[in-house]
Amino acid sequence: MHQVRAIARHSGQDTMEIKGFEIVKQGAEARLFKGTYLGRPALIKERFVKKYRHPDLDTLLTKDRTKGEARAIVRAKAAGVKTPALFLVDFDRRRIYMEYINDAITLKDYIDSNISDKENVGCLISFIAEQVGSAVARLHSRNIIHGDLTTSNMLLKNYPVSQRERTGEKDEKNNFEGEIILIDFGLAHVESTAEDKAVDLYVLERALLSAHSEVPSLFPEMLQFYQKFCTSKDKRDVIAKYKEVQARGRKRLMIG
Amino acid sequence: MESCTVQLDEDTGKFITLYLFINVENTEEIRKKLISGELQCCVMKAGLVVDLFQVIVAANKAVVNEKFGKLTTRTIFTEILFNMSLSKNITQSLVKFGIDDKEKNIIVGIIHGSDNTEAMAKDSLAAIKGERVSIGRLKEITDTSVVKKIYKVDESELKVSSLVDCVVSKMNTKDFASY
Amino acid sequence: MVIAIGFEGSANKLGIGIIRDNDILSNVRHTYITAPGEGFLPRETAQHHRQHVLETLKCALKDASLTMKDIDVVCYTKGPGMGAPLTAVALVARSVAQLYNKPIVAVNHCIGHIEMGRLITKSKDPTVLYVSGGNTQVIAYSRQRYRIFGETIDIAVGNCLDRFARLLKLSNDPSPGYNIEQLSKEGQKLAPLPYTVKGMDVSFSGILSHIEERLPKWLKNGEYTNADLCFSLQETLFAMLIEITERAMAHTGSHEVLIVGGVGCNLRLQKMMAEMCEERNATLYATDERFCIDNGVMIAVAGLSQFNTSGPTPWHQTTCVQRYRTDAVHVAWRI
Repeated sequence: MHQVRAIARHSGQDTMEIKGFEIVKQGAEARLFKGTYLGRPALIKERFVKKYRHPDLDTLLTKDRTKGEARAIVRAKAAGVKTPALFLVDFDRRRIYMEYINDAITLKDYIDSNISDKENVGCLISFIAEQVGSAVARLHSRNIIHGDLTTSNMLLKNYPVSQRERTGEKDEKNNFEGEIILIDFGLAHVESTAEDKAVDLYVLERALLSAHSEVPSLFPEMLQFYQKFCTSKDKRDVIAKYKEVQARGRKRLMIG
Repeated sequence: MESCTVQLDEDTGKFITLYLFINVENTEEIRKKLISGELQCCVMKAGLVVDLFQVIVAANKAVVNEKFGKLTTRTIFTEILFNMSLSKNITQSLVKFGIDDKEKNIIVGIIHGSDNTEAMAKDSLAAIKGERVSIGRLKEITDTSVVKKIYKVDESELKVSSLVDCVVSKMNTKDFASY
Repeated sequence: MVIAIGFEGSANKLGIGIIRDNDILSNVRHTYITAPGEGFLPRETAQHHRQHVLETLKCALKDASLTMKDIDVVCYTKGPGMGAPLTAVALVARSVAQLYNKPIVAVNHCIGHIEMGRLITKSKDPTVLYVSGGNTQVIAYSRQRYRIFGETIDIAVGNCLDRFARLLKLSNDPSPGYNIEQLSKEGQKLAPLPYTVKGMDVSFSGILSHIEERLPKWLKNGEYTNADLCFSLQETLFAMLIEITERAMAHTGSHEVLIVGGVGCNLRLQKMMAEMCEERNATLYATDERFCIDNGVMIAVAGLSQFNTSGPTPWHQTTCVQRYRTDAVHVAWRI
């Protein structure tokens, strides 16, 4: 039984190995492979076939999400948000080939090791809040919805690891501007309503609550920066809608 | 560096080798030979290339599409020019990135397997009357402001990405996004 | 040995069940069924419960071969649910507790589903998909709470199915979802419907309005039959549910899934979930309609756990609430 399954896998569309690449993550929807492509460090995101899904639905969803992801990655750049460069979008192999971001850590790891359960980190919290708040604001200002905003889907480069580094005098060696890179636009879409943006914020809030419940000030601060940097006309609607969505969640009537 | 060879997608088994020529005198003749199929290579305006990676990405998409039987244009070489353009119009794309009779600075791209570069390159390169120079001199030739205009790259984008990364990312999404 | 009786009536099912520790002694249910095209309203549902609660109680005691005197603790649903039916049943539970001088425990309905699912299936620490007429949640346990990882941002999946059944005027007997499931087996053609997953949350209201808009046209030109639409709806809704469950599992590293709630007895949903689990080397735990659909046993099970660790609910707190989130309950009986 075990063997039969392994063979079936191999002959199917799913790839467990890509020559010259090593698997770095096996997610719920895709596998990530790291290697070199066209002479540059690259990441391959391959969406595997979901056998539980009707094949037509699976094909359609994969194609839509691949398109949505690639489109959003490019639009995000134009909005002034750093994202990986695209090397190839391949519907036949259900893959996106993109730039591998070197020397970066996920925001989740950054918070876990530099902020959680640490003292005197108000400044670092503000740093994170500004980075994230402004990035999301820039996306929303161009009607881009990320769809899965979590701290695992954000990378940080050139970051301070202590209060001193953040506030201390900035010289050549000590200039931690910070760069945030948004990744995994797998559920992203462009063209959106105030409600879509509100839900995007709500998803972020929920993700922060579940992953970083020990840093409760993070989301409120982010929201402040979001409002500061958001230039879209529907900003007030978005905030009002967000409160509505949040209230709906907390007070939803749940019958049987 | 006289030329540059890069392996394209592993599954295609293809490579691309690129050459840079300046002061080319017989562009009209080259163009005719390309159209007749006598010359088996891709020739483009060097001024619109910001980095060879731009050509490599276009060529890679072409060989991958060829493998899956999905070429939009007639040959792999016209497909490279088409892939470089953000337009979905084939003629416009070929006119934009391909050479016209007055062009002086050109990039020649040859697609080959792992071992037959020399033979394939020989005929093509012999047909070009011009000065073959180091690839490194491309940056003197690139017309950055025209590139930015063609690919609609604005300053906010360049704060978070290099020009070539903006360009290739847009090229790769042209089939399903409008710019 | 402790004997607990559970009273459930938060929606259109009236259920009373009796357990002795982990053994089920009786499980009786009476469902309020409305005419095709109609949903159940609070007033009429409460009326139904009032009308049938005493016969149901007698039946439950008879099946268990017990009298009220043998009962050690009375458990009832505090919420969430519809106000009128909830209070109608709570009134009876409070009365018998007073009459026979028994301790009383107020139970969260959702926790009831989870605890009974765990008891029946013997799963240890599963990621729970809770799907019913009023709820759609992906839940995982951590630090004495059942935490909600994902949920619907508008209507519940069961509500979506019920309202779809009303659009098609399908029978509500035994339940709209059951009839959709049966009809879907004849469906062939997949109609493209909105598929909305946002993070670990889902949205179903768009599907309903999408169908509503096109239904007259589809049925008129024969593009899709009723069966095709039942099939398409199930395939789409369930794929969304499996996807968020899988996302939560990837997040928590869990290797067990438990499906609870009325929609959980749908065999197509169970099959899809099993396929997902097989790919992840995880184990699926599901139950049949006796336990998936609202019942009294689940309230007794959760109530007894609560009683054993925290004692009875103080009398003045034995009220009902329509809104009562799963993560609001302190789960003292788990480590």
